[in-house]
Amino acid sequence: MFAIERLGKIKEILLKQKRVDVYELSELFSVTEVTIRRDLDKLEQAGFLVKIYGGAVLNEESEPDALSPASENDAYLEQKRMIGKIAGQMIENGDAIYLSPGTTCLEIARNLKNKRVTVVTNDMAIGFALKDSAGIKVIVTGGDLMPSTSTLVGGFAQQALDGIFINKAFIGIKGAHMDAGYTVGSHEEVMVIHSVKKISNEVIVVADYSKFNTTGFARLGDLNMTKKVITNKQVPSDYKKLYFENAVKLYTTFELE
Amino acid sequence: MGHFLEMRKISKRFNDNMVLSEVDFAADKAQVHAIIGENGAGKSTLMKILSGLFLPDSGEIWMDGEPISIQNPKQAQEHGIAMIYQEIRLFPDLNIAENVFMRREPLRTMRWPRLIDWDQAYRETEKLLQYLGLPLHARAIVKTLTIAQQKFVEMIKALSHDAKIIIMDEPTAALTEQEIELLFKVIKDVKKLGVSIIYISHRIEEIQQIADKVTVLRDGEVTQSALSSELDMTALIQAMVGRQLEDRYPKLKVKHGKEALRVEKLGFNGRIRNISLEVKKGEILGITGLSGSGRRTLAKVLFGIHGPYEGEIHMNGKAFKAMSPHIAKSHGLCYVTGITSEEGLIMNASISENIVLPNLDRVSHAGFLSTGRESEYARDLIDRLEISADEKEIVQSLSGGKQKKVILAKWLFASAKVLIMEEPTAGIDIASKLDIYNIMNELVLSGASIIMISSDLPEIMGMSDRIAVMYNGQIRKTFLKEEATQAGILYFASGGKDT
Repeated sequence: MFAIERLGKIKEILLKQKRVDVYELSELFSVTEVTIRRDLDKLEQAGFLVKIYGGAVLNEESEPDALSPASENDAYLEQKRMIGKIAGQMIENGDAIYLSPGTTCLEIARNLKNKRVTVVTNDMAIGFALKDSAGIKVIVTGGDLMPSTSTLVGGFAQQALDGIFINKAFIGIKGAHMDAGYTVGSHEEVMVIHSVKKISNEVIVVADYSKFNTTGFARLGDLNMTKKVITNKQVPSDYKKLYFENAVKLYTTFELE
Repeated sequence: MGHFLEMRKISKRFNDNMVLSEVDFAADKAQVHAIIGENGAGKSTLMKILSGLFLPDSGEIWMDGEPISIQNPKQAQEHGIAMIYQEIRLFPDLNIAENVFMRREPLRTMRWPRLIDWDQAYRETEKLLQYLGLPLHARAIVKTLTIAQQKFVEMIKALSHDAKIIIMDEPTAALTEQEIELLFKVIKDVKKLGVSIIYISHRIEEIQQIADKVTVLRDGEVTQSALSSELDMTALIQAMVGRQLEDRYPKLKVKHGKEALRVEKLGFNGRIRNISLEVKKGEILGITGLSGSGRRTLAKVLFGIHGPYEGEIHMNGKAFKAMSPHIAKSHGLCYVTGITSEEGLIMNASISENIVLPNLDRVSHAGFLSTGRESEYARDLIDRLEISADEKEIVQSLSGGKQKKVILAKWLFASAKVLIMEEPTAGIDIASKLDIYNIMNELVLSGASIIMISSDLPEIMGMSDRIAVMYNGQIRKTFLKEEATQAGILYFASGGKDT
């Protein structure tokens, strides 16, 4: 395992257990304690944890950045980064793309450097993240701001989508489930995504593996709603099989470098 | 008038898979009837039912106007049905006559001491050899004969059994052009004896030379059955391929870089000829062809298993006139084969031992193997390729999908730059299949190049940037991904030419 993945795993463990032990971690990852201490140093500098004797505890005061919904202490950030990288490969110069609200699509936005594209989004955080990207035209819809998020919904958001055309729409979801299909957090979000589908050439679902076998509040559609899905290699085998059999192209991430 | 042999409404399923569904097939005396179809169309299953290896779930077999029962290979033989398989089934150390009369040697008298009448055995064998115009001696040891000659021995054996029906499974797969010509002459002579020959093949242009009738199978159903003179190649291919499946392969477009491997006018032993190709960084070049087209020989020549060769292999700006697996590996060229072969896996060793094998330097300290480091690298690769197994597990106990991934892990560990992947997903579960496609994406994304050799047409069309179609040791056509269709590929793979 590589340092960057190990850091991600340590973060995952910290978020779950609130504390980690140097000895246990070195056993778990089969690396020396020195290596683990170096990892913990890095995470301490990032303000993610506070070192204590023999280990470290989660820095509960590290507050999420107001404009990025779940921000840096997202346990699946690394998985989302890799999804962002694959999505970036699919986007070509001259494309008009839509990015749905959420941290997965935020990672796609971060992979648009050096591309000349138009980005349409109803997530203020995504718009903000692209503010310094030369060559990218950013359109943030108006709309009602959903409480304690950066997501815009409602009539104004939908109006903004009227009369434009999207080459590739990337849709983040809350849950993917064999029976329930794709789900998101609220009915208002479903409405916006339905409008996006109507104006898009190609719709691509992006979801890290933790989203599978879970459900959100509002139903978006069946698992074969889109012809392409980007997720991680850890996605359960029965989903891989289902997608292949339904002619949905399933892209998963394998970090080989 | 009724036919000599009739198979009526034959159905067969394996588990949930309908392999044959109400198939009707008829063959007549003194005729060659060809059965064609893609892999998995049901040709072999139908013939295995006729030769008593499988029992049908339903359906009847009639011969000479009467229903017959074939419960096992022995009963099939008693009805005069003989099958000649792709692989030779003879005793290599015995001579022709001994093979022909194996287990039913003629006796001098029926009473004790039951001595074998060898004179008669040799006489009859010589007679058949002469009839077929074969310059062979009945006392010639089988292993000294060519593959084609061994096929003739099998035919003579069938004839001496009084076979009325001879089934030949891909008889020309390993033969040269002259041998094929001779085989066709022999088949015509055998036909004149009143024998009905059932000829299984997917080489369409051969069928028009040798067959009187053709039956086309697709997905376990008969899609066409007619006189071969009534059907041209295009019609046969149409009957074989049917509807084009929707693309379901996760192909990721990657920008291609500089040339990684180039081959110029490569030839080996007449088995591959005049092959020129190149693959760029980030590119997947698909190579397909029917069995016997030379696609696997090409891989073995590139990796230095077969040689010496004519022509040149260019890697890293250098031209190689000779290749060995060692040179190939040191230039980052690797060969990801089927599971058990010299470049595959050591079945009774652990996953981690298999993975570190191509590059022991990386896990050694002053010449000593460090098992700690070996495990660390292995665990890392097991995790990255989602093999979900312990690094100490013995490879033999793993599923096919996991074994394939271990082979890949082994080459990733050796930092391969150009991967020749042979039948990368044959016989593995769908989830592992998808994993392998996505690992291929990630490989080309990191700047590697892949030469994928596969007989799975949807797979090769789905994952390749370009597709080279081989026939008879040569590349007949190279398609761009966007231009390729199943019918187009099959046309060139069956010997069709650009018009």
